[in-house]
Amino acid sequence: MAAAASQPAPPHGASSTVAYADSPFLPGPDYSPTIPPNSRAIAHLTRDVLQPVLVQPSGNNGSPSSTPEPVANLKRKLPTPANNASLNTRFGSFPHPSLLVPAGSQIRSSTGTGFIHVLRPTPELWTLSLPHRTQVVYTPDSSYILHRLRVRPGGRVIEAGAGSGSFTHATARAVYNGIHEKAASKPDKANGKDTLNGAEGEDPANGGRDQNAQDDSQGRVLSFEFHADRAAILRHELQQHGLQSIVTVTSRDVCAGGFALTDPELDIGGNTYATAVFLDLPAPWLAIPHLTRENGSLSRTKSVRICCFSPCLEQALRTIAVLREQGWVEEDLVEVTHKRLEVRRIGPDGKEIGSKPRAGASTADDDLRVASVEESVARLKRQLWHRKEKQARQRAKSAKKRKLEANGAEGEQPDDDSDVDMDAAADDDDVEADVDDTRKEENGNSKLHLFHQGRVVVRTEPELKTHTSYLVFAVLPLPWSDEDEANAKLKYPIPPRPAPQLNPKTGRDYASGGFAPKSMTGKLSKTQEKKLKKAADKAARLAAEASKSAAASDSGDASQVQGD
Amino acid sequence: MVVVAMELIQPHDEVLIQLPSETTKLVKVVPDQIIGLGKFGSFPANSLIGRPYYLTWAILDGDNFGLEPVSIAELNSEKLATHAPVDAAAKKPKPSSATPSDSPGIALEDTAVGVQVGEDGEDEEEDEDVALDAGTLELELEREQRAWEKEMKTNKDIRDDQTAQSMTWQEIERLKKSGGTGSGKRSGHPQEIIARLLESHAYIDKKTAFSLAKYTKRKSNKYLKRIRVIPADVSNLTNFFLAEKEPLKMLEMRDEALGLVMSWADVRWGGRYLVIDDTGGLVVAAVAERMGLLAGDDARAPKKVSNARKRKRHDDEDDADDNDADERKESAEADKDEPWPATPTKQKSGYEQTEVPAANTITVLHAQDQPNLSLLRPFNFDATNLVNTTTHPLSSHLLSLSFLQLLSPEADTTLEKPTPIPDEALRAMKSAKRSTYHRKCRRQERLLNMIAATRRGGFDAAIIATTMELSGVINAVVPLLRGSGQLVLFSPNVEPLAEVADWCSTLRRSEFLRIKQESSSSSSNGTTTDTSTTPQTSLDPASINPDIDADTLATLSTLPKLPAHKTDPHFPIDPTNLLAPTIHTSRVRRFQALPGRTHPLMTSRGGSEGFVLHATKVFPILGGKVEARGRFTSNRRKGNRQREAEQRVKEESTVVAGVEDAGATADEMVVDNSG
Repeated sequence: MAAAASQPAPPHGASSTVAYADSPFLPGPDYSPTIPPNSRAIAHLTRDVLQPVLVQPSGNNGSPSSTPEPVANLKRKLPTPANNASLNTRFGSFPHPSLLVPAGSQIRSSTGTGFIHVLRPTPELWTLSLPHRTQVVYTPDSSYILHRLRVRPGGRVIEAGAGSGSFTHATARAVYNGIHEKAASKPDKANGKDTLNGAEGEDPANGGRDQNAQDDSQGRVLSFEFHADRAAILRHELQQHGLQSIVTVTSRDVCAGGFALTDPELDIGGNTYATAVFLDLPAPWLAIPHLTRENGSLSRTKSVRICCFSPCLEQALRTIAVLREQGWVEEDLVEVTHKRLEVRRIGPDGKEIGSKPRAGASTADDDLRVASVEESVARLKRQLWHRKEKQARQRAKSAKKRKLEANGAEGEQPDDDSDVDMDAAADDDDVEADVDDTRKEENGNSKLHLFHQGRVVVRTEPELKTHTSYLVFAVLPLPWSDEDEANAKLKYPIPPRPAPQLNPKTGRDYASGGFAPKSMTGKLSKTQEKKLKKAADKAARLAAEASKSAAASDSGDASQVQGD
Repeated sequence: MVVVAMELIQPHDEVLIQLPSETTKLVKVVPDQIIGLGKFGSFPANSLIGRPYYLTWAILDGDNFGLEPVSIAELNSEKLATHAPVDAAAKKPKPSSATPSDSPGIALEDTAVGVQVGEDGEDEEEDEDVALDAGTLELELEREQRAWEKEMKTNKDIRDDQTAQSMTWQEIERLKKSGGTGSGKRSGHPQEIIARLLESHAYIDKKTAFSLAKYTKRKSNKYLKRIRVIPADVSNLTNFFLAEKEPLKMLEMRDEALGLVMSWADVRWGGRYLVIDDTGGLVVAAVAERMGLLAGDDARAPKKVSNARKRKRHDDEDDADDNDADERKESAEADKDEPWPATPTKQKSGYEQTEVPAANTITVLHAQDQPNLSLLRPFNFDATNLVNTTTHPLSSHLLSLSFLQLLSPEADTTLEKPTPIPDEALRAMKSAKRSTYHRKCRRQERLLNMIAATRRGGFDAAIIATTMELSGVINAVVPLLRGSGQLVLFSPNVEPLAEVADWCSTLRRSEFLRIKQESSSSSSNGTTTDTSTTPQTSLDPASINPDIDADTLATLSTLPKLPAHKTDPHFPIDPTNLLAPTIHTSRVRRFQALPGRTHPLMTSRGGSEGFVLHATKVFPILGGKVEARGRFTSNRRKGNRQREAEQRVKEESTVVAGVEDAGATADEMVVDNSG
C-alpha cells in the first residue's frame, strides 16, 4: 500500500513512522513523473470530456485489473479484453502501453489520426470524470466547504453520504499528512501508551480510547454510505487510488445507527473523534443528535465544524433548528453561485472570429449584418445607386426594345419589372463579394491574423448551474464550565480595574477607551471650549426667555454666565 | 480535560473579536494588558487567555472588571423561540415523515432508482403525505390562512415620530448607572434596560413579529455588550481584511475565491508550490495552512527571546558539534506534532539550515528585493525578523527568491561569499563577529541551494495573484512546473485573465505550431528546435557579478537552463504548454436563516468579483504532423453504454461545432498544419 518513499522516522516519534502514500492523487517528491502501471490516469479529450483510465502494464492484456470489481453491474461497462487493452475514445484508440508516458503528455492515437492528453489525477479531475452514481459535489462547492470547515493535514473528517466519492477524494487530499505506521506501539501497546503519557503530560483519567485517538495523528476521512453497493464500489476505487489507508468507508445508515466506530480492527484510535463533519443526507437533522463529544464521535479536545449540504431551503432550516438545539453556534446559511466563463473573439460584424457558417444553416441573416452606421450608409448608397443605374440601363434597353417591337407584336410588358428586380438582387451580391475581397486584401494574409482580429469578449458558459445546494455551517465550541472558568481565573489572575488614565486633550480614558467625565479633565481643547461656550449660550438664552418678566439687568447676568 | 493548545487562546496570540456592532477587531492578547473596545468598554487580556475560541462573553462594567461567559443555551434560545411556532404549525405533516426509521428508507428508494440524491428527498416525503390526505390539505391551508390573517399586523397604525419611545435617555443613563453600582449581577441590567425600552414603546403591540424582532435585536446590540472571540485563521482573516481593513491590499480576494484557488492548485501536504503573491502574504498563508505549516506548537507566538539567550545561541552555533541539549529538545518537539517528511534533522532549525527541504515547500517569487508578507504576522511569522521565529515551520519551508535570483542569479549580489577568513584568525575573533561570519556563509549557501532547487523545477503548481503583466510571469513559471502540474492565476478583474485565455486560443495555437513547423522544416536538420537552440551555459556573460567566486559560478552554470520562449507580439506566451485554460468566478450568497423570515442578506460587498484561471501544464508532441479529427459518427454508431451515448450526443453537437467554428472551447482538437 504505502511506502513509496519512506522517510527516516523522526528520532523522538517513537510510536509512528511517516511515509508518503503511494497514490497518484498524492504524489510525494519522489513519485515517478511517468504514469506508473496499474494506476489511475485521466484522459483529457476536451475541456468537458475527461475519461478515467486504469492503466494496465504492457504485458498484462487479459485480466481486467488487480482486484475484481466488487459489484458486478451498477450501470457500469464491464471490462472486456478488447477495451481493457486500450483506451477507446472518439479521438481514436490508445493502447495502454502508449499511456505509460510522463504525465501531461500529448499522445497520438494508434492510427495517428487523433490525440489526447494523459493527466495525473487530482480530486478536481476525478470529479469531472468519475462514474456518477449519485449527484456529485462539484469543485466550487467542495472547495468552499473544505475551506470553511478548516480541513487541514492531520484532521479527522466525518463524511456521511459518500455518494460517488467526489468529496471523499477532495477531503482525503486535505487531511493527508503522510501514512503513519504505528510500528512501535503495536507489539506492546501499554508500553507505548506510557511513554506517550509521559511525553505529552496527559491526564491519565481520560481512559484508553482517548489516548489511542491522540496517538493517531494521521489525517483520516471517516466515510459513511448507507447504500451497500455504492460503499463497496467506493472502497474499491479508493483501493485502486491508493487512498485506502486514509479513508475508511463504512456502510451504515447514520441517521439510525450513529457514527460510532469502536471496532478495534479499524485501527483508527477507538472512535471517530472528528474535527469536521460533512453531511450530504436527505435528513441531516436526524443524524446531528448522534454527533456529540460524549459518545466519542466528535473530538473532545478541539472545536468542531459542520457543514450540511441540502438542496431545499426547508431542509436547511430544519437542520439549523436542530443545530441550535444541540448547542452549535455561528450557524450560517449560504449558497455558492459559480460561473465558468468563456473567452471568445468577436469580429466587427458580431460574429465569432474564425467561425464558419454551419452546414445547412441559412447565411442570409448573417449577410445582412453591418458593423457600423458608416458601413451601412456606404453599403446602402452603393447598392441603391448600383440598382438605380441598372434599372436605368434596363429601362433604356426595354424602351429601345419597345420601340423596336412597337412595329410588330405587343404584350410582354408586365413581366419586365420583376425581371429587373431579380437581376438587381443578384447583382448586389456581386458588388458585396467584390467589397469583401478588397477588405481581405487590405488585411494581407487573412488566415495568419485571424486570431487577433476583433475584440476579446467574456461570457458565461452556455449551461449554468444556477443552484446546487444550500450549505449550513456551524461551529461547536469546546465546553466551558464554571469550574473551568474559575480555574482559568486562578491561572491568569484578573487585575482590578485600573483608575482611569485620561488624555488631557480629548478627555478619553486610555484604560477603557471610554470618555471621562468632563470635570476631571485638566485642559480642554479649542473645539471643546467652543462647545461648552455654545451650550452656556443656549442655557443663558433659555433662561432669559423663561424669565421674560425680569428686568434688562437679567440679560447682564446672562452675559456674565457666558463669561464664566 | 486535555485540550490541544491550538484550541485555547494563548498569550501573545492575535485573535479576532466580533463586536456587538457586527464589526470585527484584530487584537493581540498580551498578558496583563487591557484590551479596549471603544464604546463597548474594556477588559483585561488575562480574562481571555486559556479560554477556548467561539465562546460568547459579556463585558462587565462598573466595579467588576473582566468578562463573563454567556451560555450557548441562552444565546440560542432566542433564535429557537422563533423556530417553535413554525414547527408547531408544521406538526401536521411532520410526525409521519420524521420518524427515524421511515425517512432514510424513503431516501434509499429515492437514490436507488437513480434520482439525483437529496434533490427532492424531503419534498417527496411531503408529497406522499399530501397524496394521502388531499382532502384535508385544503382545510388545513384555509385554517392556516385564517390564523395568519388574525395574527397579521401591519404598520398601518404606527406613526414614525420621536414620541413612540417614551423612555428618555436620562432614564436609560440612570438605569445604566444603577446597574453599575453593583446591583447588576450576571449582566442583568442591560436586559432590564431592553425590557423597559420595549415596555415603554408606544406601538409595541402593533408591531409585526418581524419588526419587533428587528427592534429587539437593534436594542440588544446596543446595550448587551457581548463579544465573541474567533481565531485569526486564514478564512476569518480574509473576511476581516475584506470588510474592515484595506481590501485593495489583498487584491479583494474573497474567501470563496481563495478556496477555489487552493483546490485547483491541488495544494496538499508534501507538495512543492510556486507562489507569486501580491496580496501581502494571504495566499502564502492559505497555502501554508493547507500544508500544515501553520499548525503545531512551533507556529505559536514566539516566547520572547532575551538578548542574553540570543547571544548564547549564537555562541553555540560556532561549535562544530553543536549539541546544545536545549536546542535539540526544541527541534525534537518541533517534529512531534507535525513530522515533517523532509526536514533534515540537523542542529540548525528554520532558515538557519543550509539545505532546502525536498518537499512541503512554498517558493515565493517576488519582484522586489524582499517579499511583502506582512499578513503572515497574525500567524506569528515575521519574514523581516527571522531571528525570533527560527522554529516556526515556515522559516524552513518558506523559500523566497526574487526574479533576478531565479532568472539570472549570476548578477545577484547576495550570492557573493564573504571574504574567507583563515581558521586561526577566526578562532582569535570575538564570538559575535565569528557567528556573523558563519551566518553570512550559511546564508549564501542556502540561497545557492534554493536557486538550484527552484531551477530544477518539478513544482506541483504555481499560484499567481499579481498585478504584474502576466505573460512574463507565465513564461518564467510554466517551465518550472511538472507535467500535469497546475497553473492557477487569480485576478480581481477578468480582463487580464481573458487575455491569457486568448493567448492560448485554438486559432493562435494552430498558427503557432504551423510557424514552428515551417521554420523547423526549412532549417536543414530541424530536430532540435524545441527548447534552447544551443545547450550552452546558462550564464549570461554580460551580467555576471564579478564579485561572485568561481565555485559559485561553476554551480550556477550547471543549473538547467530554462527553456526561453521568444516573446512575440502575436505569441506572448507559448500556447502549446497550457491545456484548457478555464476561468471561474464564484460568489457566496449569505442568508438570514430564521423561520418565516429567511431571505438572502439585503446588502453585501460589491467591488471586484474575483476571477480564477487554471490551466494544466502539458508536453505537446514535438515534430511530425498532428491531426485531431475524431471520427464522431462511426464511433457513436457502435452504441456503448447508454449514459455515454447520451453524453456524446450532447457533446457531439458542441464539439463538431467547435471543430468547424474553431471556437475557443474545443481548444485542443485542431492542430492542422496543412492549411
